[in-house]
Amino acid sequence: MISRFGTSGGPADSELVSQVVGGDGAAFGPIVERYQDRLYNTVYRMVGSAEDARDLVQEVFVKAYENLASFKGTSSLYTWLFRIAVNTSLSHRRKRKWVRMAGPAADPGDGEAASGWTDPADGDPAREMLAAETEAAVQQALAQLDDEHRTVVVLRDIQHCDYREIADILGVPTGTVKSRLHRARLLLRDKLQPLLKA
Amino acid sequence: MLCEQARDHLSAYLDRELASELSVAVRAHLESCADCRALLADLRATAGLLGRLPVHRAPADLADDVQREIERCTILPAAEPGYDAEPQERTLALRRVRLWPRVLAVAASVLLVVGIGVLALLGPAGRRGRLDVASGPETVPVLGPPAEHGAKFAKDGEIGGGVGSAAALAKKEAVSDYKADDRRKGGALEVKEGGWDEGRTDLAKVPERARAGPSDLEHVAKAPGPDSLAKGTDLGTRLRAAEKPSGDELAAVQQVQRAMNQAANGEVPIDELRQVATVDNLKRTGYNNTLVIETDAPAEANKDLTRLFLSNDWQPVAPPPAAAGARVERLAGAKDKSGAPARQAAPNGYYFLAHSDGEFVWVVIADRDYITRFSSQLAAAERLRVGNGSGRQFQAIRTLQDEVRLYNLSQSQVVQGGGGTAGASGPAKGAGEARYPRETEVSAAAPAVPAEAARREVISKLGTAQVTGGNAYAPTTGQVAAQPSQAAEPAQAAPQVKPALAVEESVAAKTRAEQERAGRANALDLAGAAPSPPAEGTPEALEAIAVHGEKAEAPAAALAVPTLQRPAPAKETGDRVLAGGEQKAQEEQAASRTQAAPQARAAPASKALAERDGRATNGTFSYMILLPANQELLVIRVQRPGVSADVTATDAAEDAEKPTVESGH
Repeated sequence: MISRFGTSGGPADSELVSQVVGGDGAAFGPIVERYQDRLYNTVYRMVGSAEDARDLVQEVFVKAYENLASFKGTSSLYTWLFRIAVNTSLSHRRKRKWVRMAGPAADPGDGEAASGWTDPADGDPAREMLAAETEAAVQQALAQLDDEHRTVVVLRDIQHCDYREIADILGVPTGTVKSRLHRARLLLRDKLQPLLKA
Repeated sequence: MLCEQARDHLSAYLDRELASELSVAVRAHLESCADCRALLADLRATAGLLGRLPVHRAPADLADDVQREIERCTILPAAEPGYDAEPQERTLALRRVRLWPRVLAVAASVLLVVGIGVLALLGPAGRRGRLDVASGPETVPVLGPPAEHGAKFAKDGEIGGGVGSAAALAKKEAVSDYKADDRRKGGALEVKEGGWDEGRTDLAKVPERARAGPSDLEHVAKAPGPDSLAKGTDLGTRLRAAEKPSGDELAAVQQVQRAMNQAANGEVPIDELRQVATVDNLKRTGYNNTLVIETDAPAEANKDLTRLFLSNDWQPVAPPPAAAGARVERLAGAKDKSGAPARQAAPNGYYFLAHSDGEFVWVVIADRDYITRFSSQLAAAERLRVGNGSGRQFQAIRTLQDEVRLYNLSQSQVVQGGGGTAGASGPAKGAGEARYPRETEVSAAAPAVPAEAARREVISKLGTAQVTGGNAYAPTTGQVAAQPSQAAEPAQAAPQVKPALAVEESVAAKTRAEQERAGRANALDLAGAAPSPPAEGTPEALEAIAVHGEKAEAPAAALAVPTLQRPAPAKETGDRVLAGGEQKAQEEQAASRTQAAPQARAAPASKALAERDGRATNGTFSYMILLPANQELLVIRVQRPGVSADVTATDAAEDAEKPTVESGH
């Protein structure tokens, strides 16, 4: 799990945590570096706004730092961070749920440029536009899901967490993850029919 | 396996999360069921769409921001030369300072705002002195609307009509400025033109030992801070005034502080907070008798705050109206410009006025989004008949609006470093007018003044900087008062204040005037039809405390401002919403709107504001803004010049030049 987040070559999370808790605040830096992109992308997909995602991820790390001493290591640091991120994102959304989530096209924010296209537009303006529209449509569909469905589908289909990881992050049984994910995909399928047919 | 059974497993099958036996069974079913295969294909395609979304990487400077934020949380920035405060006291400062950047971090978010305005309504000089000693000279108006709302302000020009049209532009610019600054500086607030200076700590000066370690309340680090904090903070002032709490007092402060923090985090029952949040203790915290309880449930906050005050001998000024609080929520029916509901999930808003031993505390619990959007909602509210007490609710918002504007004015005034004080009651005169130019402009907005002339006068008094984008929250007043010649050059500024506004307004003026008359009548009807207020002190009353004013001196002026000592020339009596003065002004305003609508619309509330300014000049006004997402509290205080006998005018001016945001839990 950790290797997915690029920890190769660096000290283990547990070691970094121990150092931070022991007073070496600098050891928190590698933790931030290690997880910021994943957290950012997750939060971004949760809230739909780059600006909000930036602020929330910052908040997540500060919360984590402040509460690192309470991290017992019973779950992975990654799970713990994502739990904070999910809760922070959901809390944020609940407070501004009347605000329509902006798609990436409308809210490019200050995040790094999209870099994960498996089907890059290769500089073709038409394809780029189509890609942007697709992303906006998917993001919009995500925004229309209930929190629990959006969360689970983001963790699974965007962050590629397995069911157990999702269950750990959300604190729910894996059976719940399974049913929520299935329901979320069905909902998304209905919302994204035009794209699927295309 | 039946289709129904198989379908429930298809997602897990797709993800290879099924047990082997079940997976085999599903596969077997799929081989024989085209429908389920089609569904599986859909699910795969759906998951594929999500999986192919671009990965948004964190901004390059996010890690730096995180580090900066964490360091900020662990650094004491306000140490003065020679200061050797007790660790606990430093902790207080620490907690205050750490909050601000995260406040900004969510500045664009719509969050709950709990504002508590402490208006020390002062009569006796002795009281003034006492209060002033307890308060600091810092000054920072802060309720900056998000940029998009600022734009709305500017477009609609509805913040006090003509005044607003200029101020709106300024606010828009101000907000943009601070947001831009915030972003550039990694979350710190540093508004130009001497407006805000959050007092960022220069990390290079911070000892290494101060940079690490958990940032809980117990962690204390000492480091040199920026001059602005050293000179302008409440901490610095209190230290200079030898007001360092010590011994039992310090313990009390700590107790309250911790209780606040814990309550804010939902860690302690509110009852425990009540036990320690006595008036004396609150004073000792240096919060000027203000208290904010973190909550994202305004209704509960209203109850808690109300009960809290009551349990500590703070009494509502008047029996609560029957309308069960100034529930801004009722204004949810407002429509935005597109005709869509401006707010479906409307925030709650409450406020009440309480007093204890001659001090008056104005408590506002509102939604920040509402505050920043009140311009459009306010306009809509004028045309809404939103049920019982709507007039009060409207006035509640208007008052809030005025208070926000008042910050700008007072900030401006402070920057000039003014000297004497205006009268303890009644409109400010003479020097008061000079310090509060809006008073004059409000008067100028009266019907006798031709529209264009009034507008030009407003513009000239606002100062070019504001019109052209100066920071409305920052002191442009230096220009206001220091550049009287602008009044002679109105044409220069006038075109920049949305010249079409007057025309647009004139078209709608007649209709609006009629609507306002109808609304006023409606408010009167509602007031008359309102059921009797619950008995004071009853649970119903506690929950119902809301918008009201004194019933003795100025019963009809109730809602405009906390107007304890204002001899309001009320024409109406009883439970009416509108003050007589306001009514008259509104009538005049309605009559004049065909020519001077923007300015005239500012008249009623602003007139009350102007009256209050005279008194408020002698007081301290505070806001506490609570942002629940961060569990943080921002304290903004405005110290008006001439208030303190213990702080010289020079000191006040000096401090004002470096206004400081003080924030804390």
